[in-house]
Amino acid sequence: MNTLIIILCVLLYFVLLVAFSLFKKTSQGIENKYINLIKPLIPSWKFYDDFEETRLLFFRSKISDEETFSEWAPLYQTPTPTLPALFINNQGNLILAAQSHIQTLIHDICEHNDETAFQDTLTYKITKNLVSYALRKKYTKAFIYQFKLASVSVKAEIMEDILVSPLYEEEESHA
Amino acid sequence: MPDSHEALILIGRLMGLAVFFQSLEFIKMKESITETGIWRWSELRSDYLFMPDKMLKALDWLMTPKRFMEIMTLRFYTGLLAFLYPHFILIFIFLFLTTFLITLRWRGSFNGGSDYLTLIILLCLCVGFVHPLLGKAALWYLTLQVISSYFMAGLYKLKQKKWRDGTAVYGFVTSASYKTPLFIVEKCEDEAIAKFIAWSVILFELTFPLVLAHPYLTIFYLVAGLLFHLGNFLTFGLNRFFWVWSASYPALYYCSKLLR
Repeated sequence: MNTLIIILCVLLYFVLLVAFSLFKKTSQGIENKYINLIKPLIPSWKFYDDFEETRLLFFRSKISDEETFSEWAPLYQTPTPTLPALFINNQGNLILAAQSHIQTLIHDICEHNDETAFQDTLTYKITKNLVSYALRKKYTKAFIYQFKLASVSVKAEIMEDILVSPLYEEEESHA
Repeated sequence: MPDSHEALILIGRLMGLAVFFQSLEFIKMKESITETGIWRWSELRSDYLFMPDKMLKALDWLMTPKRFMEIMTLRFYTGLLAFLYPHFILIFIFLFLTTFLITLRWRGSFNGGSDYLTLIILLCLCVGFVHPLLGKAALWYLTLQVISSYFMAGLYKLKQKKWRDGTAVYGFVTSASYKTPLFIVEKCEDEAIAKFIAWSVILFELTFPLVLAHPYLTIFYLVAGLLFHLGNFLTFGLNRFFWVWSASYPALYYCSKLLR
């Protein structure tokens, strides 16, 4: 009898999940900052919920004003998985974290109001850090760079620019 | 009647291993959280200005790059302890709190779903070791969360045309974000194969609740789940998902036994 009740409860739970997934989201959800802190404990498990388009960060750079910019290139690409990476994959996970950040960036661009400049938002600052951090590995001297967020086709061709940064100059690293 | 304590101990060991690897990864990427890195605390703290002064000061103390790395080092050793001695609730409370700190450091999560499940498993371990009844409840909660993770993912894929016609699979493996091994890309160029893979994933995820239906199905779905996560690792490099989801499987096995 107990087993039957448990099975019915489990069935009911999944029927409810399907039923709720049929409704379109009409509200912004709960916007309490304290509740947001515990959101990771109540995940929605909506992996790949937003797969209509792929958005990627691109960059172009040069080392002096006289030079012309390089072509726009994708900022990150996860390394090809190897057996040791099944255990330790710091570079791959750093890039996956960067990709998660792009989801936040897209969300914040959509939600942004004009009261503050978007470049002053934390999300934008982290995006800029992501780019300069990656490029500092490439250049030992000072360099000029620009980045953009763009939607891309299945074949990774740029379709539409969503955000284009101004030019930035990164000083020579003394590390 | 299966023993919930035994299941919790096995989960504790596997989770210890997962946290051990995760912490080592964080230690290796310490440069990214410095003040010249990507996630700089001096900038991130603006997200937490709504907190009372004392809480913010505590975060300021904990989140400096040096302190945060010390915490990750402690987490690394505690993960090892959890693997060796998975009976001590304090170990899991510490791991839960430090994982929570990671979610704060990365504005919600560092690695999406794997962070969420890590937190849920650690919470279940903290609660489950308090009393056998709570242990049972924790295992059921974990089981429902894991089944939901597959089921919801399958449901959202089913709703998208790109998944139903297989182009999503090709899109993922050829995406500029991932350096998928060439032999996988070549296979997915064939529309029929891409569609077959897409539907296999959708059906596997949508039917995952059947893991509780029969002993043979339990074994089948857990083995298929391991292979699925190995495939995701090979294709997208998602190593953390493999370890964290594997750590939850003893809960599913326990609950399926309980239903017989």
